[in-house]
Amino acid sequence: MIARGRVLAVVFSLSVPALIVARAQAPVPPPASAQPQRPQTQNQGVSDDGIPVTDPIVVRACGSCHTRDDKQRMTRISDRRATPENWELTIRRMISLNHVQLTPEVARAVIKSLSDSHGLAPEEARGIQFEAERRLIDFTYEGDKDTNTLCSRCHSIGRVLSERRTKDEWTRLLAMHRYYYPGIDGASGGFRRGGPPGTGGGAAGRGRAGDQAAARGGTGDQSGRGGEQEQPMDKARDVLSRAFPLTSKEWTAWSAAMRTPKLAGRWALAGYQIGRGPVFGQLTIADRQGVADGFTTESKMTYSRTGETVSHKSRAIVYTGFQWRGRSADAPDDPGTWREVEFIERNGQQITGRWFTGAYDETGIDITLRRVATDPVVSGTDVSALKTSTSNQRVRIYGANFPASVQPADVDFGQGVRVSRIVSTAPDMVTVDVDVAATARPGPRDLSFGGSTISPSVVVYTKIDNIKVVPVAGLARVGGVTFPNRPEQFEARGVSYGADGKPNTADDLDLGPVTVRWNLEEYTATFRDDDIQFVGEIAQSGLFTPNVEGPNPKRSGNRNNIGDVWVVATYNSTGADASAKPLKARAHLLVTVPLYMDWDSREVGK
Amino acid sequence: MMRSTAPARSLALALAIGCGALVAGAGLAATNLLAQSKSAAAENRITGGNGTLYIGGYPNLVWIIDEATEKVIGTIHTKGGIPRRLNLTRDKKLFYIIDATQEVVEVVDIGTRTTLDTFKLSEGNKRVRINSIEPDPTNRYAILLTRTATKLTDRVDIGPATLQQYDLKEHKVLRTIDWPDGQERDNANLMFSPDGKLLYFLGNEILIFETGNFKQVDKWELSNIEEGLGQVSATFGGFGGLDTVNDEPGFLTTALTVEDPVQHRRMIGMGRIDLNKKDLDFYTLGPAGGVTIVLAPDRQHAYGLESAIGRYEFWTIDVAQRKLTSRAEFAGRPRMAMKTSSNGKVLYIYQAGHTIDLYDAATYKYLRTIELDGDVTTGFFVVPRQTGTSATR
Repeated sequence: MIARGRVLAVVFSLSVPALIVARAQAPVPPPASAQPQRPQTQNQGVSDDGIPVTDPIVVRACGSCHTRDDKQRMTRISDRRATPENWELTIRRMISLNHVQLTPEVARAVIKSLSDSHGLAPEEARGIQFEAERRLIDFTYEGDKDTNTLCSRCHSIGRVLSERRTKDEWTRLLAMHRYYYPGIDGASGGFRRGGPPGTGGGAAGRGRAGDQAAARGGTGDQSGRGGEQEQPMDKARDVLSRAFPLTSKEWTAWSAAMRTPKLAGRWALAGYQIGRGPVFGQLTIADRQGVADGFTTESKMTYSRTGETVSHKSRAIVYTGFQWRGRSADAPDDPGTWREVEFIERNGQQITGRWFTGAYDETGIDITLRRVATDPVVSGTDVSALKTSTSNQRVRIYGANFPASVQPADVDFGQGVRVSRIVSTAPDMVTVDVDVAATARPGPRDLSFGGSTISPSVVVYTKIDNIKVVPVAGLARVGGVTFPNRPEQFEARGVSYGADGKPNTADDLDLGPVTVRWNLEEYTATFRDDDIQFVGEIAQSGLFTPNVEGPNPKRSGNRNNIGDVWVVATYNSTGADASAKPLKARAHLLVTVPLYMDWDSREVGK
Repeated sequence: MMRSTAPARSLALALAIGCGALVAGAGLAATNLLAQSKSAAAENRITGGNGTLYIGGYPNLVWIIDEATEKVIGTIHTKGGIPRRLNLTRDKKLFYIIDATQEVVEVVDIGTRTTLDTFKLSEGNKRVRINSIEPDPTNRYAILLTRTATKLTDRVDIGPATLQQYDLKEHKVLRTIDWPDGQERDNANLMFSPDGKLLYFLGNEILIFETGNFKQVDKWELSNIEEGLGQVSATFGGFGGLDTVNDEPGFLTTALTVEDPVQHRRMIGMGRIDLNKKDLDFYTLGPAGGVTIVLAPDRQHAYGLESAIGRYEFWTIDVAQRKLTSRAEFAGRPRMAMKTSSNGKVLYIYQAGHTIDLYDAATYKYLRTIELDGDVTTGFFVVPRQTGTSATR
């Protein structure tokens, strides 16, 4: 499953403000004709475990449709918990499909309130942080692969795992899907099937799925009988209600302990942007007056590879006591295009996450913030690997509160690595030269300096045994005419096989980025494959730029410029190894169509 | 609109030969040769016959294609929305079209290309989705398989799958038919007997209902027809639904699979079901893969289409000899379905996309492609030339 659902802001303007009618504060109930009788087949009320809704803003905004009982529990809402992004999706659906009218301010207040009162605990959210961070990763819900397959037919499974509901509420969620999507029961959605258990699907009436399932030898009951087996949607409901229930000990504990985090102050920033390398700097967080759990930031950071320095300002809101959602702002050259999704550790000393931008959020920096007090803080180094039997290798150490006077002995890279000279010192950077002994044991090294340790900082290696390309499975989207395109940045990284000299073992070392030659090769997935001629081009920086979208009359069938290719990196050794055979590695790149519909939740960062 | 992209290699060859002859100075003879070559090429052009092809597509239309010229000769513009399912009546005079929302049924007279009626059961906040429709032979009523989805104030309510008898003239539900065995089905392959007195539920067991009160009068299991046949699994209808154009009334031709008792290999075979005599003629063809089978108009041949990722095959089945006579790989395309032409000489490959590829049924050689100006959204019917125009209802 690819965690996806990328932004298409230019085309699809269904962000909350666009849908919200500013003049109406109070929600408008549906017309009388749409006020039906209560359903007869489901439990109508709220479960005994339902979480009360006490915020008057939420009650006013949602109360015309969601009734409240004497224990302040509102139908549907009280039986659900979710991430801020998922609550925003719900609010957007209420606006776009149920014609709820809310001002942007009220909508944001509702999202904030529900994320705090009906949110996820840190332990529940950590595993699916990739969803809010908009990472393109290959993720499968191992708890039940059938459920994973069923849900990820249409959307990221991370979106599903961002929910907690009672069993009745999971049932209602499935019912909502069946109401809006006519084909979801059948072949396109796979919610239901006709055959008996163990058939792997049977007839789907007079449609394609049943025909093909049976043609492949399934023993499905072509009478379409469904009563003798558990339907896929029923299995998913049972799995989800067991694994992701409304009530959990994690939420019980966190909802009691939750508070506004104390974040104001200085933070040391360390990041990594694929294709551009490490970035270091400092960031200051200040309380944002008048905004509950609101903060502002100012930061300055330097890409160590190029020395380029970047300033960054942002505003953010913390949801549920630990979920940082920010957006760049107040900078003349950045009208809010960068978003920040971060996870605040419970000890308040470290924040991790991703800053991202691009039409599909494809450009991102992995961020770690460490609180700066009075002691030195080490953020990292500009080099990621040190070769054995070398001397005077220059290393820049980034951080904060570095002393003015530093001695070589103050900087400790561990066994076999000796700091031979302090080249320069500054409060946020110390430059040193190091010697690496021939006998230095290959492996990662911690860096200790001034009482601060970062682990690991560099790895020691003897030679580059191989290279690898990341991401190993890339995704690009054609565009540039009507829809924006989605480029993909690749990076080649050196690999050492470690002490055992064997590939793919536990002691393999990632040596960091290496300079390679890039090219594309055909990935022959179908006969007469000609994708490489159309999909786009890769630059020697590793950046793949897709071709434009739309039918191409030069392709058979007027197909779009989509397809899949290999991205190949070739590394020529330098120095003593220059005559060695070039190392090659490859990644798969899927070039697909633009996202025509935008389902992203971006209001939570405002 | 539409283009027919023929390779026309034979014509080019003929022209080349003709040019060579002209250079040689034998002008008159060369002219005759050119004319003869053109004539030969025309005679050798393999066409599907003189029937009519119907296929629904985006947006809101059914293309009518003359089989002989392979040109679009007209369209039926559907009023109910994007057609998703075409049901051809046994007399080949009407289409019952279900739209993409599954809420609207449109009855189209094929002869006049006009919409005779549209109806839906949805009202207010209640959507009634019609999963399938089977009109009785007189077009007086239809059996509908429906499921309701009702939008309530803060939730939706999904109803059970329901089998209903619907009066096509009065536009009202006459009755709700009890599910066989009292067990709800998500899907139902339904078929009336030619006289309309019986209704068949088609599956591995075939349930037979009288159509007076829709009570079950009989039931037979395909697996029990012959001792030792094993567990039979039947397929009724490919992409787009059940197509009985080439079957004689009361018969159904379909792919069946069986599993042998010892090695548990699943085999695909050809099944001819005589609904009147409760008989099944079945023989295996080979390992079960992704093969679908269509009957040729002469009922002496049938063709199989195997579609696995990256491997596509045509099969030819000699119905009289009860065996697979040939199979061959071809280029194919992902997501395809097949129909035979009205004269049985051409195989049409279609489904995803806006094209219909023509192949020679005898040699499996690619012939031409019919291009449509929109994507196909329904199954595909080849209607032989017939007398009569519009139907009466």
